[in-house]
Amino acid sequence: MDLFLQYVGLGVTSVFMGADGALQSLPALMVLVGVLVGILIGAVPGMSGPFAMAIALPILVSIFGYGNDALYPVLGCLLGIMKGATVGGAVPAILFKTPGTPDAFLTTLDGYPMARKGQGRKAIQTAHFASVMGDNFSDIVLFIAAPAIAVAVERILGLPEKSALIILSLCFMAAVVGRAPLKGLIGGLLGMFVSLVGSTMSGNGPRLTFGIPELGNGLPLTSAVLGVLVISEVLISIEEMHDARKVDAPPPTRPEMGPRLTWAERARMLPGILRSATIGTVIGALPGIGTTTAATLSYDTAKRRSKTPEAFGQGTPDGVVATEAANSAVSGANLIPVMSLGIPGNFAAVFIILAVETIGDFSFGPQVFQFTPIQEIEGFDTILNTNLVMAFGMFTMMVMANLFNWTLGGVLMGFLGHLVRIPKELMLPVILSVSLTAAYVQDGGYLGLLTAGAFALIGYALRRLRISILPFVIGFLLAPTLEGLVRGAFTASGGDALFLFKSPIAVGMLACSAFLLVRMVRQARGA
Amino acid sequence: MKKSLLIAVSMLALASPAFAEWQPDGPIRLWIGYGAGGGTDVQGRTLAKEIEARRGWKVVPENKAGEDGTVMSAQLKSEAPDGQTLGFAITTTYDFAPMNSDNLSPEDFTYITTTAGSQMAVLARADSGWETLEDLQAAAAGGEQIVWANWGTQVEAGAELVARGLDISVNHLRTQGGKGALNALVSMDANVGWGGGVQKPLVEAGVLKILASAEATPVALDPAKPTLKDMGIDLNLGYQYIITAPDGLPDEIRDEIGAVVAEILADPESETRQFIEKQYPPAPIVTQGDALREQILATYASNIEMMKAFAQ
Amino acid sequence: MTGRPGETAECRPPVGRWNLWIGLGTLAFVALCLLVWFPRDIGSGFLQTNLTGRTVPGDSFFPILLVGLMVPLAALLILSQLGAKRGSGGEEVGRVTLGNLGFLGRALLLTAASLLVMNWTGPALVGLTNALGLTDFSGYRAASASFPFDVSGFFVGGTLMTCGFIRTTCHRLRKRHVLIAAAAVAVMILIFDGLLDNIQLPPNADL
Repeated sequence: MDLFLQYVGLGVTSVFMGADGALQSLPALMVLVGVLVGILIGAVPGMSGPFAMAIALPILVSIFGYGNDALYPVLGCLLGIMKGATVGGAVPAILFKTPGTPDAFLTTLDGYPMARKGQGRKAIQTAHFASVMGDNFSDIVLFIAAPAIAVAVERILGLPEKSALIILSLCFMAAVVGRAPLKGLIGGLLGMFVSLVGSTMSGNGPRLTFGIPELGNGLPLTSAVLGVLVISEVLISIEEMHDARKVDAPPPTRPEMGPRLTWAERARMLPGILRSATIGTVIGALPGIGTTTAATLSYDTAKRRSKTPEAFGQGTPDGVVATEAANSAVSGANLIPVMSLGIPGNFAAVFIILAVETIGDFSFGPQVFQFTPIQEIEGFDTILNTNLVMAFGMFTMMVMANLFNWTLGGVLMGFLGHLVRIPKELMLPVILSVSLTAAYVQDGGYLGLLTAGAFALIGYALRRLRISILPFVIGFLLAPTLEGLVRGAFTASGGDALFLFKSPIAVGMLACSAFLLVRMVRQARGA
Repeated sequence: MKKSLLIAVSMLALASPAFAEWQPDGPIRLWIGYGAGGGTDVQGRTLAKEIEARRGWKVVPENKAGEDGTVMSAQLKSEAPDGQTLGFAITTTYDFAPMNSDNLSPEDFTYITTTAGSQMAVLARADSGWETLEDLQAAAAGGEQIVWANWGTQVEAGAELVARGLDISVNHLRTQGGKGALNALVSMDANVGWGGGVQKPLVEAGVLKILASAEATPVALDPAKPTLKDMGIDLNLGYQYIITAPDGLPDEIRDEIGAVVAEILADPESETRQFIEKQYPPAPIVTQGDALREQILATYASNIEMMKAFAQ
Repeated sequence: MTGRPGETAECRPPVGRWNLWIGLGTLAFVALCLLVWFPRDIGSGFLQTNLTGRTVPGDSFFPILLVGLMVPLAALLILSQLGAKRGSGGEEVGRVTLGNLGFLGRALLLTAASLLVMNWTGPALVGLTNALGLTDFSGYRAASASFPFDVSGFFVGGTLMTCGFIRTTCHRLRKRHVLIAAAAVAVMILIFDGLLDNIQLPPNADL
């Protein structure tokens, strides 16, 4: 217990003190910047948190570099964006019925009618309160669950089980994302396949490179993810704007804001928030199920259990509470599989994992939560598990982001309605240029730029063919790990062809994967 | 040996102003054969900064990671040998890796200077209770399954040589880089592993133990442990960090760049030197010019012999 | 960035048998990989004998496993399309139209042209100042670390590309748009080249 508290203390202070013991404000400042950017981005229709994180990551890395000191500022900013965006998305959804982020879509159902009834201020404050409460709730679950799961997993899982776990996660993800699970799974395999281009583990020289020496280290990760996620989406939006005849929509009128939310009303919301946040947290901890599912499920549950179900959809604060608390609770919980297993379950988690793995000597996974005894060695250094300190530092920054969300978020949300609409038709071309430049700058010149371009085309095709992108991206990220595990399990078993089926846990996981597959096929047949 | 090196370094440092003739035409690109953020990267970047400060040349570091520097080298060899494109990798890249590659040969490069050396050691978890290779041997003889983590063909061959020397049977686990091998050890996927230098914090924390040194001398972290040679296993897996250029680099450019590096590494105030002293103790290793070239070619030849022995 | 609920739920007109083509395309890709690409571009086979005479996975072990898994999935996709009624539930169907390809072609052309301009502006500027006697560089490579030559290509090419895409979204290009594009690129130069060290804007990392 002492050791635990020592590590928590070190983690908290590491955010405020640099390696040399001097006070530093940079991480805190970057969390603040991230929250502000996130709230603004969230409020812009067509932009979402992961979108902003994708563009921010290479730029932040260019600014702060790859050293160990760079992790907190970069990670802090990304976490801030992630959390800020969950709050910001609700404002335009309530005031103008245009959700700022996809997960705020359901907030329009009750938020917009409330605004029409002259309760805009109350609706926004309800969304803010529910959102931040939900977020905090899931963070607390994360702080407890991630170490617990990690410690358990590290005891139980060997190489075959870890391989099976990744296979199961991918199957699960394909099964739950989108309405085309079979294609999703093929996309996931394709994602894994393209990540194999380049280096090999056997030292026999590069593979699948078409003889291009630059590809010998594989495709640059950040550029590839930027291309498939952001640039392809931007291309599609640009195309839609190009095809659309020019309609000058009248500037949306801002409705009457009405009274404030009272503390008594807030108190009455708490049971609803707790229920919705629990739903969001459980959903968020599973890979692949997004905020939209969490919000839908929570909204339906709230409606079913309400004494006045007919009020839902007519502008009841309970509806806003149900969606906002749930979709915000996803963001903390989706870091549980990331921190304890190293498996990302959604796009926001992808960027957190990319940042941690590429910057400094940190990595996620079960080894993070090993409580190495802290020893001080004379004339040298203190010996400890730096990954663990990093984890607690990350938790600290999440708490800070929550504080900023509580205070500044509330103030800022009141003003967002005043913001001039940022013209999307100018913003998207600029985003495209920034993304391509970031890819070039960050990932080895034209190699990065061309990778981003090629992956943008892949992403475009996937989107047009209605193949969900998440399994592709996760497959792309996890394939090298999976190859290492599978090869390792095979070799360490002494070349047993059935190496994956020797442990009951692995067999159980593979059986679950097979079950999911059967379900997908039945769904595909339209049964 | 060490003393003579230091003397050589200081002599080069004294002699260097005489060479200060060559001036690059525009920026020098220093291609670092490893990813950003690692120890090699930090060393390369600090060195680039200090070369810039000493000579006023503009040195731009770029990361070209992959396969222990071979990806970078494959691109480097077709660049112009004008001293304005340099590579930074390890000697293994040139004295072992070309064996398995169709497009690399040790003859493709000009070898400018080494900077620092590795701390290759055989590692085990502290809770295994093993202190020496004999303990490992006894455990294997007692029926324990030995899984040895490595990151490349050369070190895997080395592990097999050790296993043969100890007359035990070992399963090899290939991991991603030196850090991967450590992770495999810590998370109990392997029970023995190689470490080239990254093991330092874990050894000091008491999580891992050094069983033997795979250098010519005992490693600085645990000087009490014998070398493999002491154990009767003729194997030296030590490597040095090295600056290279494409083949055909004129000698005066080679010597001028080598002189700057030697000057920096001989300066106790230099950031690079301090980094090396901490990360790759005890001190910089500077071998240059023809001597370095001979070292690379000789090691390459002996490595080919070693692998031939396996093929039989 | 997952699809909005409204987007997936909306009724789509019948769009042909794209899922069938995806399935067949996947099978063709697998065949191409196994028969042509892998044998030529992977150094070792499915299994290989390592130094110690033991059998270990080769470099094509995992790739073959992956494309192998694609076969049953693609087959299932094809079968499910043949069996299912059109327009009924099941796998969602997407499509790529000729219009889409035309747009992509134009976007690629625009990007490629901008990159070419990006590559040529620097050398052209160096040639110009050399001819005017202002500078004495041996070429762009020698000038690629000195302002304003190092950012000239990026500025012109980047502005061109941004303007091109603004023209696409707005259907016209006003002076205001050009200014915004140039300002955006200038801000990027300020951040990447002005504030940060060791950052190479295009095309300077590929000389």
